[in-house]
Amino acid sequence: MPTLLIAILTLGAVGLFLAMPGGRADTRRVGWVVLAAAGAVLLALLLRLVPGADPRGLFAGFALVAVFAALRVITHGKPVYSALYFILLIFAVTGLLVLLEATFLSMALVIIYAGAILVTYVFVIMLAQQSRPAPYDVKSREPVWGCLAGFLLLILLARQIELFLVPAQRTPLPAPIAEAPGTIEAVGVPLLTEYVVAIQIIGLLLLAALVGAIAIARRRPTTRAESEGDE
Amino acid sequence: MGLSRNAFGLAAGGFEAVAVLLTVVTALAAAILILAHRIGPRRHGAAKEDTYESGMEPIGDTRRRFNVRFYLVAVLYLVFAAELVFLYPWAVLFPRLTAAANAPEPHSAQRLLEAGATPAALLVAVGVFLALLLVGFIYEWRRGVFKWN
Amino acid sequence: MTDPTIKRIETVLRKPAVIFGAGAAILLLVTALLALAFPLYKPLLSSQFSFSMIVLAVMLVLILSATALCILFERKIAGFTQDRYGPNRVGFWGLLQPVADGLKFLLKEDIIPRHVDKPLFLLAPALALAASLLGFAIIPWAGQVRWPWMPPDAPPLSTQVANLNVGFLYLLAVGSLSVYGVVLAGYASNNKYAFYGGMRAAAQMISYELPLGLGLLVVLLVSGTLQLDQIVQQQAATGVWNIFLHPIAFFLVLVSALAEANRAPFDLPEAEQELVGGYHTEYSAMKFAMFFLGEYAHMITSSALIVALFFGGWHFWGLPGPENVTWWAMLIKLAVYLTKVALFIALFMLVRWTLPRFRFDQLMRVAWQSLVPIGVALLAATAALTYLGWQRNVWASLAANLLLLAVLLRSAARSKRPVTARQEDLPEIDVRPTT
Repeated sequence: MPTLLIAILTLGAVGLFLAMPGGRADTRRVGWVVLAAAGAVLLALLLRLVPGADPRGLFAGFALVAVFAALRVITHGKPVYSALYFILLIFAVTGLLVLLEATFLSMALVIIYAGAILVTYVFVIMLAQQSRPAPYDVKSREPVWGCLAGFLLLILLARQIELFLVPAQRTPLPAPIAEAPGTIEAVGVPLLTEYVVAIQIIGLLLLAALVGAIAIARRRPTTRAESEGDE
Repeated sequence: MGLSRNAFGLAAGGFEAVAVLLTVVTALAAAILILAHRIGPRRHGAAKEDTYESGMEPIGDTRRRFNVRFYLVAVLYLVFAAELVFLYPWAVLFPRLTAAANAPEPHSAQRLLEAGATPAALLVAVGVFLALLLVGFIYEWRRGVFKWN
Repeated sequence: MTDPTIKRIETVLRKPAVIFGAGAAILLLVTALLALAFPLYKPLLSSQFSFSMIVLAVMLVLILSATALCILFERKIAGFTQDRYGPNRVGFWGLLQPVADGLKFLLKEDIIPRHVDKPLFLLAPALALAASLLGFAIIPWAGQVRWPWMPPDAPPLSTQVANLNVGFLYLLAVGSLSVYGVVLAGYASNNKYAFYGGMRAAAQMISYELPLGLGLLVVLLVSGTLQLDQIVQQQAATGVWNIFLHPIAFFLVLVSALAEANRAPFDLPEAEQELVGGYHTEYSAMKFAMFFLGEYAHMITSSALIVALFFGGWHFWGLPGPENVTWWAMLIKLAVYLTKVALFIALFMLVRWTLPRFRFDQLMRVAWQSLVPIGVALLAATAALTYLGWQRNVWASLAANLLLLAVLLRSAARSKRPVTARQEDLPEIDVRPTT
């Protein structure tokens, strides 16, 4: 089993490297074929291991969508599409969180990520857009190291993934908890007692982010650049 | 794995219903698009398919750099939205704590009390949090971020 | 137009007896069909999930047909405000206008301009419509119901599509998605008007989400729960609607709801005089209509949310309360709820035809320099009230609101800069009356 898993991960890493923007078109196509093969093996594995009505099937489905969206985020040549795939990724992860009953977290994820962070991304993309695709959109900068780092991270997690995949070694489902663990009340109690100092630190961090954003963006308008695109 | 019983138990009409609604609404939007595509007439023409800019010949492309102030608004919103998300759990629990007796669900208030929270502590915690936010807000105001001219 | 048959059809359709007769006939037919098919769907009514699905279907159809009707009423109200008739050619009192509009939207050519980003161009209207139709899932339309054939000790069913424990956070999450429809439309069109419209819309929507969130936090402090059905039940139990406790919070939420739905006076993204059609300049036929449907659906959901938060939802004094879970009480509650929503929609429309449009700098100033500070101040005041345990006390709450209003008026009056509509970079003008 670990060998199969490592094989899938290796296939994925190689395919991703080939599919990264910057290579020749036919190389990228080969990369996608390799990635599709890895995905198909993974899907077959999941279908074989997960019995029909097991919620893990749904979980695996969302996870596969998330992985696909994540791949497209880094392989797509147009930044706007990358941002949209990021949103798809957020939705897939939201689905995962809902399945885990982390309902407050799932809604917070949508509000913060899809509602705020991605809007910022889209603004930045619009801010920097040019008539032709920019060189940094056409070619990825460090495909080798990027793919290798991701691959190593997943190898480290392989043991956990294996536990998820192999029924024999799977830990039994935890007994139903009387109170849903992820409601706003359940999250709020530790947040307001145990982690109350952490919240203040987060507040400081956000304050620093505010000041930093102005420091970056609010230089004196130099030339045309600012008045252009003004309404 | 924390997958528990409710993932498929269709008891509460919870997120399962939302999933159904999402499917229905997506299908509806797709159906309208396809229907409109099929039913309407289709006559191509160079002028018709040109960019509409009030009859002017479009000058240049729309794909060019844009005003940086929109980015600032987005970052500001991002920071404030993150702060608000931290305030929601507080706003749910705080009134329950101060009126633990007649709260709709006193259970969580009890747990808060057991964890050592007092109404005053919660008020101060959020007060400090909000004060930090206000410092940033006043700084923005002074720097003229909200001035659009 | 001179075709005599067409003329004859038009005359017939303009007779009130024909329209109302046909309407009554359809209503009777539907009722009869529902009554006949009752044994078929009776078991479905008893389980929460299948009942939720029925609520989903009914409300979806209702909202979609209401959006069509809304367009007629919008034009009627415009006509009323501007002292003209409004649509009155198709059918009696223009009642068939929505049908004509719908047919026209379908039969017109669906142009996809050359320079657009085609996938995004198609995705944008779909996203705008879908995102705005998701929100109504958590609206508690008619409280709870227990059917006569259910055992008397069975838990009553909730007339919501989804009773989520995240409550209106779901609405906030879904609402924050509607920004993508307009941004993508603006970007994909590759048209300068559309692009500026889309960017304006995005900046406006995110800016006004903050006052909305602050207003909701105030309600949250009063109710202590995110779930709309419980918020409504609390108001019904005490008979005190939240509007009496927090008029300023209501104002914040109302203004933000108008801005979020891109309604006048916040309709700059589609300011005809400057931006042609704004983000939907390049859209035609049904794709254009999808943006409209989305806007009206958004308006209906916002109204329903405001009614639930501030106007007691289905509650009205003297009518069945939360303890009455019979089916006829449910119908009364539904009628009350829908009437309130309709009144709000009428208010939104009157506002549109009464107030002039903001300029963009004013828009941003209102959001960031007025509504956000007011919201934070109100939140602090409500937190203090909650600390004292007085958050449900009408007089304490009203006093705090009045105090805040007085402070606001005083600071506005003492402000060094006169309140004018002029842009801030223009030279100062003297607005004091000349004596």
